[in-house]
Amino acid sequence: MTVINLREMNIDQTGTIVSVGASGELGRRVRDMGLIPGKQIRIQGRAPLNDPVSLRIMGFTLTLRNNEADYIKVEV
Amino acid sequence: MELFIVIIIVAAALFFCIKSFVKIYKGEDSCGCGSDCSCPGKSKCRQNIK
Amino acid sequence: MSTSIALAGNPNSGKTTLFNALTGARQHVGNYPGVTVEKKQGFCKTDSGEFDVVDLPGTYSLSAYSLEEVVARDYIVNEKPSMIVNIVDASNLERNLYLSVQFLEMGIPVTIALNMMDVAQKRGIEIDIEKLSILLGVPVVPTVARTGKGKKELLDTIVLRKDLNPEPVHISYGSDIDMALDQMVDIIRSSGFLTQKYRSRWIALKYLENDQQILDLGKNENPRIARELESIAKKLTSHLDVTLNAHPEGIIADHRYGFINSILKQNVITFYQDENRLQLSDNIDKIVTNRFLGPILMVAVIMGLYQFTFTYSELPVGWFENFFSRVSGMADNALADGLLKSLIISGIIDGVGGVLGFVPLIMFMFLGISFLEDTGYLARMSFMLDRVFRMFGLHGSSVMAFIVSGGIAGGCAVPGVMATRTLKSPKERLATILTVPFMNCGAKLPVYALLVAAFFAENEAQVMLLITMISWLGALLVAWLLRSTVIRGASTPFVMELPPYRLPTLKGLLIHTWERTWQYIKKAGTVILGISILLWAMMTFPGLDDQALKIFDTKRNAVTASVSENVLNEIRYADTDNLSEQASSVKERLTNLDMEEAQANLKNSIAGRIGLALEGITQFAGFDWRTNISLVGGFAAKEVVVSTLGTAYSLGEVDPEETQSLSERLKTAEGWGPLTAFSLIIFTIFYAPCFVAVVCIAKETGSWKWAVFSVVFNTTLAFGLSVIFYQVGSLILT
Repeated sequence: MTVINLREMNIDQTGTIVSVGASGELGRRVRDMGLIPGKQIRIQGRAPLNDPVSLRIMGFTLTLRNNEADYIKVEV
Repeated sequence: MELFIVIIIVAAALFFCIKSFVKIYKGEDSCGCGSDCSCPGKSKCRQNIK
Repeated sequence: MSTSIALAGNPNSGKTTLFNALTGARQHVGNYPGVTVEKKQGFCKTDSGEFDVVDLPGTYSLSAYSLEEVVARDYIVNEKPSMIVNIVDASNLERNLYLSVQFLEMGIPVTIALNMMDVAQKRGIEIDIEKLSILLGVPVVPTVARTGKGKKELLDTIVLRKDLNPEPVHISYGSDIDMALDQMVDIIRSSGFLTQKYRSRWIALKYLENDQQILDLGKNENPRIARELESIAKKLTSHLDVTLNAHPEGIIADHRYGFINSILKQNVITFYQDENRLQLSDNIDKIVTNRFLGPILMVAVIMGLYQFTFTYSELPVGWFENFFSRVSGMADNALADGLLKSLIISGIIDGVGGVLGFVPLIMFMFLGISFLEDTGYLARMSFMLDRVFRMFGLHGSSVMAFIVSGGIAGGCAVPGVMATRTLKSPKERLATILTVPFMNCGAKLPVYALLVAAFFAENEAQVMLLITMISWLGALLVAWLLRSTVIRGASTPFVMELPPYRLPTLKGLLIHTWERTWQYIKKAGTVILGISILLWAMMTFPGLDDQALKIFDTKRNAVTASVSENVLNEIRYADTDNLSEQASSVKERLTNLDMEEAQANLKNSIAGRIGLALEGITQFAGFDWRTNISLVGGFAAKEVVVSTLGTAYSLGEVDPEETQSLSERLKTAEGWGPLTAFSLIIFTIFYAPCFVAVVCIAKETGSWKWAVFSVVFNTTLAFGLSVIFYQVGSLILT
């Protein structure tokens, strides 16, 4: 079990969120959408230019940019 | 006589145009094209949320 | 007495669909996050009672962080609806309940409409509704908004439970926060601080969440207590930062989700399939947003839309054109020559007809766009394009504003400008507002369609694609220019939901299309009619003076005097096709004289003088004074460009026997060719937004400065580009 950055995850890889380091505006948005510690996510795909990334959480699909994904640590 | 009718029509058009622009500016009318503001029934669509 | 209810819920939870099912109001049903920025109201009368329904903007939270959230919260607090109907997507229960919990914490009357039960069932999700209702302490009614199922039960429940304020839900946020909350609640209670409107614990919570709106309210209410509360919040924040390396906001959110989880874990929800299992929608996404296939597909979709629009609208557009030609011919026969006849034919029929003739085209375009919007494809487009947009200092969500403005074609800059309200960063928003008017709005479409049909008939779809690409490229470059000079600043997050693909209902599509088309028709019938008449007046008055008229009369008399009475009678009464040689030559000379007079009159008119004055500059872009008149008219509304060209050319050429369509007329007109046409297209893409859009830009940016900027900057840019194109083009072609 290793903890990596969400950005480093591969497509179709699953993991559990360990921590969300974002604060302020980004932090609030991320939490409103359910990206909080303990949740399972699966990387669904990336946009043609590799950014943003789409992921699956709690049964729906969410998108965020790579530099926003940097704040999120995932255990895989 | 003909000139008189024409002048009336033009004046009416001028009045109508000015009125509708003023209305849009005051926000009483929706900005009015292709948008989704068409509420039938008694209440008017409110434009200004603030 | 009717009951006031407010619909609240996440975007894409079926809120707008339920609103339609309740009120029957015809309005927009989109599948894009945050489509409902405006407040929509309706009235519902059933056996259960009468209801005033308000459709609140879709939000994920109530943190007063976005405009939508402020709108929703303010409405609930200030208007005190008898019941909040919280629409919850059953197929996405956990995240949807995050908003519900925040309603419950406010201690207001809430009924949960558990929507999309059919989708949930299909996905193998089973929900114990009764248990959920008991645990949350509010009624829960299962519904399927698309079919209207559960509507009656929902309304009955509302009647039963209205105006009953339940005890607010009390969530424990961990000992540190709970202790601070208790301390703050004591202060708030004893001083009655803001308690007329809000619950005391809720106020305390908002102080910990650093909610700007409540902080400001507090400062106004009682600065001393506000300071006291703020210092408690500050102390806790630094304490948590040291001990847990966390922020109260984050901890509060975690505990809210924890609370939801603790409820769902009590066998409220059962998954018969893996929650994150690949749905059909995800499989579609694998292809649609694929690195290679995605962009190709996107271009193909846009191309297909044009093909669809132009191919299928060709026939009905022809019918419309014929119809107006015929009406014009009828009016010509029925009315006596004179000013009134000229007003009716040149001002009204040609002006309005020129715009209405494009109704079928606009209708097909809207139909296509509605389809893309309602299926959820638009959200994918913004996902794929975010990286590109960010390079130019915009945001993936700007796509929405661009598309609404006519990014694909056939929108309107006005709702586009308003659609930027969903953008959180003021700088990206401003850049978007200033660049969306470059898109191919429904009003510019007739201009392009006219020119393309006249000069590029062989490759209509390709030229339209080219026009779209030019407008996009221009918009992006200008955005980049603005973002790196006048409006510099950091970018905002792209945390967005990709809604599952849904097959739009035919009824929804038709209603949607008809509404937009109707708006277009209404505009043609009202504002454009008015402007058309005004422009006609400007193009007619002051008219030629007596001396000039006399010169034409003398010339005419000279022609008629040179031939015998017989010939004149022949011209007057005989069949036009079988004239003798002499008669037809006389007739031609007379017609030419009429034309010359009309030309002289137009040149002498107010509009003609303006156009002529501008010709000195605009000739470098290839525009003659008649085009100038129409472009000046285009400031009022872009459709007017077409109608004014119509008027200008029918005023100039008096040939009542030939009521040929405008594009035919342009093709043969002097000074017109593909080069002029494309130069005009370029100018039309970039020049000042129409008057209505300018007013809306002023309103949305809160200052006339930006409105003036967009008029001056855009016109200068447009003129510069047209001149470069025309001059370079002339050099290459000659």
